[in-house]
Amino acid sequence: MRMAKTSAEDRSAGRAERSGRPRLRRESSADQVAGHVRQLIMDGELRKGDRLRQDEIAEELGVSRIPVREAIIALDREGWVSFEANRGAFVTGLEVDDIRDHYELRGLVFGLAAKRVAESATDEELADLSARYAAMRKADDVGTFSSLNERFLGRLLRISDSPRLRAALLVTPSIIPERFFDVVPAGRPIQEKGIGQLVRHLKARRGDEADQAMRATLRKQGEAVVATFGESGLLVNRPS
Amino acid sequence: MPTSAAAARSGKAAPRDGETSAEAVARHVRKLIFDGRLKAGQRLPQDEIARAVGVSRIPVREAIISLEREGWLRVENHRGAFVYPLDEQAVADRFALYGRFYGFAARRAVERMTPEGGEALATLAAEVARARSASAVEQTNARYLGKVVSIAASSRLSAVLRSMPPIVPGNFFAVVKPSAAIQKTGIAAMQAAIAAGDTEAAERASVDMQTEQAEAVIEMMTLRRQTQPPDDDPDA
Repeated sequence: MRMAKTSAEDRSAGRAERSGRPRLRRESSADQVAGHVRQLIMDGELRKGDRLRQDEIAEELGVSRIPVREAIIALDREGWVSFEANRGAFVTGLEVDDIRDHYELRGLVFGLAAKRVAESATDEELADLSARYAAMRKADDVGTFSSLNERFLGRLLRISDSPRLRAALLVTPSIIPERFFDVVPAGRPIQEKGIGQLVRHLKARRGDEADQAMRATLRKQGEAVVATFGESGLLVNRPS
Repeated sequence: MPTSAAAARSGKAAPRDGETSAEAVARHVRKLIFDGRLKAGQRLPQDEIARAVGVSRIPVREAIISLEREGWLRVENHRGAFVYPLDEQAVADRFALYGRFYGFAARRAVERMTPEGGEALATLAAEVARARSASAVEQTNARYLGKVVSIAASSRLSAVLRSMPPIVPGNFFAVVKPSAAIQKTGIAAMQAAIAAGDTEAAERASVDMQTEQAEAVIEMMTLRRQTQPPDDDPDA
């Protein structure tokens, strides 16, 4: 029933692993700009209602206006700014409900991936995930942990072998795509514990429990994000 | 593949009212894949598709970007777009996602319910129960679930649902025979749970309903493969 993985995908994954390079997105200029703007908002240098000065940002970072515009589109999708044609981009403040919904939805997708992996992964694939988890636990610094975590989740998705699950994740872009564990220090223990539970359930082929472990972990990450940003006064509650 | 001129004349693939050329192309390609005329691993014949829909290659390229994002195909640089399998697993995954996302909608709807919302849902659920024809089920079901999603008031959820156009072309409830009965039972269960304020039961009703729908679709696709192999296409 499950189709063989596409050989091209396996080949490129193999290449990246042999070269020892993390399979991460290369950071484009637009990614850098987006990261910079997110940081300004988190540091309180840009506040809710402020207009983004695109020329200034471009000049400060030494890039053209094109990556700045790309970054604004991404930030709009992530919920950090609201872009209005002819008026520009304004800092919106993150809504508590949006943050919670976002992590719930990602939990639903990753949970389904985990369930599929528990049902159909080979023993070798499960051993590989287990080894990756062990490496995460040993990571000395946040940067290493972060990239190992990203690789673990990427591997989980590849094993689940479902283009439609990957598609659903693309629609929910991360609120904090880079340096999540720097921004949210409480995130690492949550992730370590959650992935540990996940790996145990996967090894025992307990699909529903693996699903629940993923959902619970991402829900907790959402609460950690709310707590982090709540302290900085960055959050807004939807008027009800 | 049917001969393109015939397809263009029949007008089925051409853009409909309110539809952009790219949307018409995407709809056409989804149908080709669903009907088994484009098979897993096959390269998308872009010129042929442009001719069949009666558009230039630009909307075809736009459609490919959307279709890749939706998980129908993958683009390989300089080589073209290649179709992902629409096998049992793909169908099961898609409906499992529907079940989870609408289950989430139902859960949030309970948590964010308004008095007007509660009344509207009860009325709409009664209309689903009364629907007889496949088209009545399609319309009342869309109104009911649309209302659940609007009460859930989640911009993130709405964005995800917008990115998941149906995999079964046409009116699902007419194409997949047992689906109307499954949906009516499922919506009744979901509504009972929402009215009782039971988030878990509401979520479960959605997941169970979509699991049954996936089974119905898989059964239909299996039956169709056995009775009419797509290779026997008289136009081929």
